[in-house]
Amino acid sequence: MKACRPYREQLSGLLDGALAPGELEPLQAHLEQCPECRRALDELRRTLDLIKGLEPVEPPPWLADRILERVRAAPRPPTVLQRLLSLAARPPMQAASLLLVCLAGYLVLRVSGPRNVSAPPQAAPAPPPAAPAAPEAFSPPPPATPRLARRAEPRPAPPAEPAEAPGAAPAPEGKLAARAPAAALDFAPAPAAAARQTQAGQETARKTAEMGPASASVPLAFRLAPREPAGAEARVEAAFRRAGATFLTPPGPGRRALSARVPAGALPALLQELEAMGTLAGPRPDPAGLGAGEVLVALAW
Amino acid sequence: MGTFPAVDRSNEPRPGADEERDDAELVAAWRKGDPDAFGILVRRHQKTMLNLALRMVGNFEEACEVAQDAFLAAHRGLPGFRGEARFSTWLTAITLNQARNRLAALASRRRNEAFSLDAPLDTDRGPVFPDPPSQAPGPLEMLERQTLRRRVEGCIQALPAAFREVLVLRDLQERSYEEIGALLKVREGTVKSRLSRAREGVKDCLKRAPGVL
Repeated sequence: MKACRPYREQLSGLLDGALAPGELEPLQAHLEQCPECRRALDELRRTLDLIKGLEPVEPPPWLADRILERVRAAPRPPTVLQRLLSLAARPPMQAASLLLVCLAGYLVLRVSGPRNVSAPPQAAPAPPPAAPAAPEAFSPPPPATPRLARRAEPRPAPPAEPAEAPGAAPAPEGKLAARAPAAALDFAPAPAAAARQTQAGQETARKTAEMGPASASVPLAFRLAPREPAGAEARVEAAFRRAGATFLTPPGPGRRALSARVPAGALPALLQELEAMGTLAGPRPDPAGLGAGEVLVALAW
Repeated sequence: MGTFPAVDRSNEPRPGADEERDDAELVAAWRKGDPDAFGILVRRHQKTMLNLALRMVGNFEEACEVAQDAFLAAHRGLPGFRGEARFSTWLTAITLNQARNRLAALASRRRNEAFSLDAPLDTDRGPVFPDPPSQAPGPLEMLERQTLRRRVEGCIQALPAAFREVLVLRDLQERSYEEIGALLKVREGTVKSRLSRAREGVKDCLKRAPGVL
């Protein structure tokens, strides 16, 4: 029975035709001589038939109308330009902080050059919109309507999780994962070739670097050339965790980039840790200029 | 054991070049000011998202709420959707998140409620869902197939959420391993392994009822 265990785990893949090339023949040979596994396969096949036999339900006729009613009643999602302009209408201290952060972002663009930021603008991911709009909000946003007076309007809560990055950390097995809202879908293709993964990592860093005008702060983009590439991912992740970072795009297997919100006070120590791992290119903002909040950090290595 | 007719999914959106181009065109049209474009997207995808939500939360009314919340969140996030993923995949990720949130809220509500006779029982072997109460008016209408369907649904519902979502995406929504991996942010090997455990879980659950398997 113990010898059957590895084969039992392959039965599901066998039914999907998804076994690895070297798995099929040994499994078939085992099935030929093991009646228990043959019975288990038959039961699994019948289980699958029953599951797939569950017929889909039809949506109630009112569902689409109800959705569209709620959409019309909800504040209109602001355009990227509107969000940027709404930031400009904040109190002087926030505006000053914003100016400093924007300046830092500008310097990043200058320093890191086209490596990180030369992608076309449509590649930028989207943070959850946070600003309200007119009541007839179901209609799309007008091309460019500055909304400088937005502060006086009520601000709705951001969408629960409109676009969590599918490249983020896996949920713990068997537990519900109530995930933090993330910026946008960021497809880092796990099963693709290694070269594609590296490209995806760089893409993530680049996209995150482009979040500036659409997010609450301009990201600080860094590039790390680790002295010891092996295990760099784990060391980088640990450093971010020690800094109390909230990952937007966490590191994952084969991934070579991440983005996170880092408490401004913890940024210098984090940069110091990263510098200890190798050569770190990127801005060195004055902590005083970052305020007491969080900064958005994008790192590629 | 009953034999089920082939499931008619012909009116559901199918991932394909034409379908995706159409979605992308609708998103672009919405951006340019077409007020009807989002409504078309809602009508096109509501069935798939409702069924995904239903299999995740196990209750039709809750699933309708989840579907509404998902489309609302999608509408809020649409200005930032750049088409890097297919619209349907992006929307599925949103719906899954909404379903997870709803499940967490329901679990929290259950913890704060008095003991309920029909609430799932937490046991060492995982939650045990009692048979759902019969909605049928009389025993003659309580057909074998209906009983079996409810049992299968109950067994799926009894799976831990992380396994249930893989099974629902693969076996009921017919998503590829690759797409499921991208949606759940796990490797394909993890998808395979969770799927295997989920199917075995349903199988073991069904075997506890005599004569089902």
